[in-house]
Amino acid sequence: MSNQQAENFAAEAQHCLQALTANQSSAFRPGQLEAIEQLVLRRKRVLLVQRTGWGKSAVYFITTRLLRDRGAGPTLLVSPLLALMRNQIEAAQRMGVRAATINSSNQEEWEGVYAEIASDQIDVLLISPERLADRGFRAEHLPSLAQRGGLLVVDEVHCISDWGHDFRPDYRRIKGVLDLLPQGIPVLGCTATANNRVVDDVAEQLGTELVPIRGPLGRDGLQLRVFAPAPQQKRLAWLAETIPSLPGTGIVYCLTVRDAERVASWLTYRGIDAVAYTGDSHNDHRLETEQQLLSNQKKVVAATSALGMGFDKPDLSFVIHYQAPGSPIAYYQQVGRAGRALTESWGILLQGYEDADIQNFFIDTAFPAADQAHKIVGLLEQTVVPLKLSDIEREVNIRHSRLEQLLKILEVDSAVERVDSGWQRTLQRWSYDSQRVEAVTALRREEQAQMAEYVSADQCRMELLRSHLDDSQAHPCGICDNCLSDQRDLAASTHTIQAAVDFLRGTELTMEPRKQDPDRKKIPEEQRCEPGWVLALWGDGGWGAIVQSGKAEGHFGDDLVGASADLISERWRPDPAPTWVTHVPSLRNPGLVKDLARRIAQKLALPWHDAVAKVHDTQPQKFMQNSAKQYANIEGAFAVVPDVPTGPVLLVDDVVDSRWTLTVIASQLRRAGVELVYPFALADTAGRSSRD
Amino acid sequence: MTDDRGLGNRSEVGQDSLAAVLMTSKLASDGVKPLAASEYWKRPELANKPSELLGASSQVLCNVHGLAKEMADRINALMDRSIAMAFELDRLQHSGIHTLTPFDQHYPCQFRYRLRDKAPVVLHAAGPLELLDRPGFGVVGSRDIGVEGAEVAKSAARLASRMGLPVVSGGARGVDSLAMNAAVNEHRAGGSAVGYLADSLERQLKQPDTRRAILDEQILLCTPYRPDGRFTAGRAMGRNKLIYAGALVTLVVASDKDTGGTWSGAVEALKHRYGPVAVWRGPGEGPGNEHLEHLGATPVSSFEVLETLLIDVQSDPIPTETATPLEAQSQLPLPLEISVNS
Ligand SMILES: [Zn+2]
Repeated sequence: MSNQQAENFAAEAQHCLQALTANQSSAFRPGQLEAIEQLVLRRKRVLLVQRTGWGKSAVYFITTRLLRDRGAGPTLLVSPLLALMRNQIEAAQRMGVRAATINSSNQEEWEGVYAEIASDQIDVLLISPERLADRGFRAEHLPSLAQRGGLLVVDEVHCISDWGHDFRPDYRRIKGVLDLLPQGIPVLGCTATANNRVVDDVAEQLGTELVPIRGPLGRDGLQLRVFAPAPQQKRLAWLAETIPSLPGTGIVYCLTVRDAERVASWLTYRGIDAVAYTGDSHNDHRLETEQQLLSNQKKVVAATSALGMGFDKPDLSFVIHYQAPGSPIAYYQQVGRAGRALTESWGILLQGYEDADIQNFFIDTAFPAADQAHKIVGLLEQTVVPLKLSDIEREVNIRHSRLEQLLKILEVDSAVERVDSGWQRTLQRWSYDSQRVEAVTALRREEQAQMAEYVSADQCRMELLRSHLDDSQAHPCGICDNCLSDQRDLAASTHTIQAAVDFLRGTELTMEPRKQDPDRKKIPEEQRCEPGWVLALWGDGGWGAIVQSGKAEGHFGDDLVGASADLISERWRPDPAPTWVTHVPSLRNPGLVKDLARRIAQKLALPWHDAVAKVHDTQPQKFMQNSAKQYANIEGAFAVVPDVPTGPVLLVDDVVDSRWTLTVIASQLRRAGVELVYPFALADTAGRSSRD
Repeated sequence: MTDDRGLGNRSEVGQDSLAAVLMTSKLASDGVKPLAASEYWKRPELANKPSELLGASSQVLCNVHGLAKEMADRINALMDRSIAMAFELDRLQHSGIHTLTPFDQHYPCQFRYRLRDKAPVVLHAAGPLELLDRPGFGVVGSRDIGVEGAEVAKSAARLASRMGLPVVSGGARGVDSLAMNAAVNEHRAGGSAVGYLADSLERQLKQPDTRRAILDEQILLCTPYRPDGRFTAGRAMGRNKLIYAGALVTLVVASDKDTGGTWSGAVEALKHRYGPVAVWRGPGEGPGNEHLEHLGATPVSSFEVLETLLIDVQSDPIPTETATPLEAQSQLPLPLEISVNS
């Protein structure tokens, strides 16, 4: 290309930029024009590693315009953003680029989009990775939608790297597609968080001809702080006292769903406009929450990592971590959401004593163990026909939620696939890749150590994060706690800490009665129990830790008995009230729960009866991983003694997990003529650790 | 760990393969007509090094590659399908369907040699691709077969299996499935089968028995058509070619005369020399068998004769060098004369 041609091209691109920004004097940032040239003139594959807010969308909008002017088909943009930002679409329209979105929540608009694609009215088509992973969509809709695609853009492209901290199964399919895309078709991958290792991995997927364009990842004005580990009540108290004094809106990141929900309800209880956002939240709720945060209707969102990809709020002023994530890159990605368009913003890391346990849990469960994987794949290979989740559950002893997770991992590995009628073995050869599992696990351990280094470092925090991201331009930021030599203790008033303790003790949980047995057979109304209550979460900072030590010592103290009686008579107040108390028997430790139930009955001034007998010993429930096995383990293990009272009964247990024991005993009591059964337990261990 | 595949952007050969798919595949082909095999093979400027055409404008295709304007525009439009095609190929790959072109290691090299310009450019296959690496023993016959004919089909398949040859057939009802099942049932002898389908490959792959046999690496199913396509008479004939071309020798167990797919397939194979044809001349034969012998098919009257025939064809294999487009220009003589020492 001659100098003259290069100049002409630059002028043409510049013209587009000015139209896009509606500003006659806007100029390209370093890297933008280079990326556009590589894509339009050389039809290369480009990897942009640039901080969020750098202007990646300008690159793909202008590239689209220029390619379209040269006769190319529309751009296919794969992005987890549910919809393009309205202001981005308006900007693109100023240079004649028309965008449309296809995702699961706008199905009614698809017909229109097809017609517009067919008549070449669309320049950029945005599709979510989750759509691309959908079988039916891929077979029926995509071929015509992508028919003349001229440019493929993959946003958050680091998610295709299974070495990365943020690997997403839906992206795995994009990796396969890139492999089948011939040279001469321009591809743009964008990410804000990738170190050399991830860049190398992505480069391998995108092909050797890849042109990486990397910029500095520093975030001006983001003030990083780290506090030493503190108990939950102290962190909660600090949040309640600090958040109202912070300007603007923010996010509190937690490691588990339960922690996010608890933080949200604590802050709400303290009069702060807070809401929880987790992978458990309904899709509508999540969209609504994102909207509320975007429009500043909520002060703070307590979120798990589920609030991540695709969320974009340039004026978010603080990101606080209630617990420490397991890798500096993941931390950078989350904390980097703060203050992109602000001169001043906060990134504050709190730590709990539970953090390492939770991180370890995530690392240890990221892959199925070899025997689990072989069991699942072997079963599906043997049956050949698709099996329902509950059928698989019955055969392999793996808990429902875990099994679902493992199937998804095996699906990524192309060993199994989901079809309309369940899960089936694919026709691909498969073997357990223990080398990869070991290598990725070792990498996670390394990242965990790096994170430990980050929290204890006395060097500049931002510089350290950037160097973990292999940012060659990392330098001291001058505004973090280390740069300012401004280390502080996590301070909160005794009064608020006491309130947090009371709150934790008061956050008893309700138990919904099970309505189906593990075979999904309905349990008749007249055999079900009523909704029950649990005093605490196993091992947490309220009553949970006290229950845990009581169980270990073989005796529950009077404080627990008092708290239980308070809960039942003050806050729960079941109506009609129970007229007697019984308990879940155990052969292994017959005294513990019996004694607890008797003392609670005494405190409530109700009679206690030893109404249920254990007929034979069962394996502890925690060794029985799934419903079908658990249920089989319990059924027939208990018998109700003759002539029990028929009034409503309080059924006491110490620790619940699956609720199957309570379900079975309640059903037997009801069949023996008892009017109502109210289950109660000191602690709940179920789902102790679930990430999103 | 998933299967290797030749197709892809990793290698030059993979790029050629992708380019060949883009020009000829009927996948993702709304509004633009893919090249027929003959259109592709007749143009060495396309078929020799198709990857050179990737990313080329119509102008370059005319001026540099010497294509007529109309053809250049058509190739250009076909290449524009790259992104949609990548998604389609990945989707098939994910459900266990591989896509092969003459540039791939496992594409049966004798196709180009025997079928010349009718050789399919794109094949979709599910199962162990290694089964395509060596020609097998073809068994064909009508769908409605008597008890004796059925026994012949099964015994012939068992014999081939014990001799280490995959059974090649059409996957239809009757002789096809009897022979293929008999081969698969010879699992202790390592029996295997290759089925060239005229019917939907995707639908066939929903059958539990089929999945079982594929997972056990005993059968490979292959089609030159869209994997979601339907059966038509034209497809059945196109598929018959592949059976004859894909086998060392093909035995016609029972055929009607002057009618039916078996008859026309065998006559066509004899006429165009798609591959050596043998015909069963014993109990269970069909009304057309005698006439096929008159038309040049090698008569087989007993399993001893068949065994000798199979030993002979194995010791006198067809040339195996890859049939490149250039070779296609010089049509080599085919070793069709098979002497049976009985
Ligand atoms: Zn600093």
